[in-house]
Amino acid sequence: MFEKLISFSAAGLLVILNLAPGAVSAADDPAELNDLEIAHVAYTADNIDIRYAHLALAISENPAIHEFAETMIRDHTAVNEQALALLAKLDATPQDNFLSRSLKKDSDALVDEMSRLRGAAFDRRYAENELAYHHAVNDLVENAFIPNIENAEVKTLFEAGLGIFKNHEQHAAAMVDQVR
Amino acid sequence: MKLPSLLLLTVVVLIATVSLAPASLAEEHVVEIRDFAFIPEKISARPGDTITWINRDIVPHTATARDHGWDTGEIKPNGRTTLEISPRFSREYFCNYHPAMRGAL
Repeated sequence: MFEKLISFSAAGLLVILNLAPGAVSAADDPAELNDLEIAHVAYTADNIDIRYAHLALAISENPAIHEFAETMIRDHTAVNEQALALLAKLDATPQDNFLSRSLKKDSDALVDEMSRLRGAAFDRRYAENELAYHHAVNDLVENAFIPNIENAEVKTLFEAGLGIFKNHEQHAAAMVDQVR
Repeated sequence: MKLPSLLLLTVVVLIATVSLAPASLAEEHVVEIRDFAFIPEKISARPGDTITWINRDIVPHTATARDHGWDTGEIKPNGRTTLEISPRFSREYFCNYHPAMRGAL
């Protein structure tokens, strides 16, 4: 069961990363990441969503999109501050890894794509991506990261973060309906 | 004590009692914000009561009237904001940052 959950999580993220399922090797298994690598992935994922939000504030003229984007910036910044404070307390440094790099690379392509859109087309793309992105990352956090995090304080922070990001996913789903 | 003095004292005590009476009936309510929910979701409060919202989450929230007639403004993590209920307060409220969070007075 647990292996199935991890496979599902990895598959979900691969959709976001635009990678073929066969591209994952044992060395590229999200469930094999250590706590510091997981922290790096989470920090990277937070910053990617903040970047999408700034793009939305720059391009969209829809007040609902603006409100959502501002919430993404506010919440992801708050979570990152908590994560950095915890890492400082633990005297630990996040470790870069394959998943962080893949997320970053994929987000660069998506920002490039969304930057060319305007009006309702941008709003729809942004909203749909926010829903898909939060769904995939939440799935990964819940089923691959949290069960494997060893440090209790790090695990608690991820559990709190998951609650926040599930709320974002619901909010994004409502926004998708709104801009459809 | 002379009669005029007694009368004056009686009047002062009466005025003090009447002016203090409403304040002594006012209640202080506490609503915790935890895991993206107002706890309790509904409270029984009336004009003159105070409500203190305490944010236990790690992200900011607000308590904002549906009609935007009243608003706590941003309540930071571990922060709190107290408002006194006025007769014009509308009952339904939500978090302006996370609209799925709802509460009622």
